[in-house]
Amino acid sequence: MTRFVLTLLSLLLYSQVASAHVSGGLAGGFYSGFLHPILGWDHVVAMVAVGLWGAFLGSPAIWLLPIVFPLVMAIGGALGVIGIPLPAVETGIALSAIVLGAMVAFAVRPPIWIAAVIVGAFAIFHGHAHGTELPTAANPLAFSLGFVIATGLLHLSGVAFGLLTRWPAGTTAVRTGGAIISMVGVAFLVGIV
Amino acid sequence: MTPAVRRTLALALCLGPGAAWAHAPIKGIDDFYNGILHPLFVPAHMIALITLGLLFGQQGAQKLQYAILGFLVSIVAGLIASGLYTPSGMEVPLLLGAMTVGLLVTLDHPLPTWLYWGLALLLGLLLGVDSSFETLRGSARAAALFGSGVGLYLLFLYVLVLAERFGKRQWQRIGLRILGSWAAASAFIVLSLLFAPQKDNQLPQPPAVSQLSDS
Repeated sequence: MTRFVLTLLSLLLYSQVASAHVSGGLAGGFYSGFLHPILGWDHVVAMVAVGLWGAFLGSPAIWLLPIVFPLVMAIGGALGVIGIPLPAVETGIALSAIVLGAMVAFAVRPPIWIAAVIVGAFAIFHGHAHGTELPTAANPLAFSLGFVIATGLLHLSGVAFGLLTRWPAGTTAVRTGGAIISMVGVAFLVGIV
Repeated sequence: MTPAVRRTLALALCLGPGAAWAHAPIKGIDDFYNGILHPLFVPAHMIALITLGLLFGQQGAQKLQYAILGFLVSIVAGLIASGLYTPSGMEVPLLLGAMTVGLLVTLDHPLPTWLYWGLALLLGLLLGVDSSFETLRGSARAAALFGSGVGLYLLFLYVLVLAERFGKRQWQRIGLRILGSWAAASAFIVLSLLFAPQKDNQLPQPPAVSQLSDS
């Protein structure tokens, strides 16, 4: 046992490179942009909710919402870059999780254009949050590609989970997921997390 | 050392390999290869080529075969022109072009053939002119320009072929449209930097050849 513990302790000395700082240039810009939505839980839950709701609504929402979101998000991003202030950005992001999660939890099925307007409205807040970081990025185009792609992949993960609605138990799981997302949004809104 | 410890140690060592660093991808490359890699190091070139390849692959290479050849001719014309004129600020028209083409991919609607011709000629010319390699002279510059032409066209063809090959089924076509929307969104956000306050209204500049190579 002593040998085992000593061996494990010695492995602690076998450390890898820390990579504590993001490198500059193209890779650094893309890397930091890619991580920006992923490392913010408020972004993550809302993006997943977009995919979930799209899958829940079925075609064409399953692909239309993930297309609408980045395009409208770009407008919000541009506002952030230009420096036009948007009131209550963080509140808007938290509300996006609450509303979109609730849409899934309560199985709300509005016409596609209403769903697109709701998703697009919240996309502006998310885009603004990313856009304010853009001018300081190592490479703005790589940064924007990174956060747009990461956002799309988060949608995709929501869509993938949302496809469980083919089965009755899956529908329950997806609606439960929506409820959890909504509660997480409330937690962000009141500042618990 | 007991077998359990040996197994643990072996497993831990397997899970913790160091970086290979087998090749230095940039140092020592020659001018021709430097030119081939050039589009990969200039994001505006890359995004323009990818969106155009997606559009042409989405709409069918057979229908647009002459425009595809026209794109090659316009790249060559742009590269030749870059020897006579060294432009600046080409990022903006390239990103505008990429955004437009990205939106067309997102719409996925057949367009008149002359429009594809126009996009191919315009983007080919811009890409060629923007690959000027002004720090090189003589045969080194010619090699870099030739390599750049090869790199630009190959990247376009790769994307085109992939988009056509994997754009047959409905979900694949949706995937192409999503990629188009990503490209258009990215280009739009970066274009907004032009209107950013203070000194941030500088678009990213492509790296100089001297930064890509130590030769």
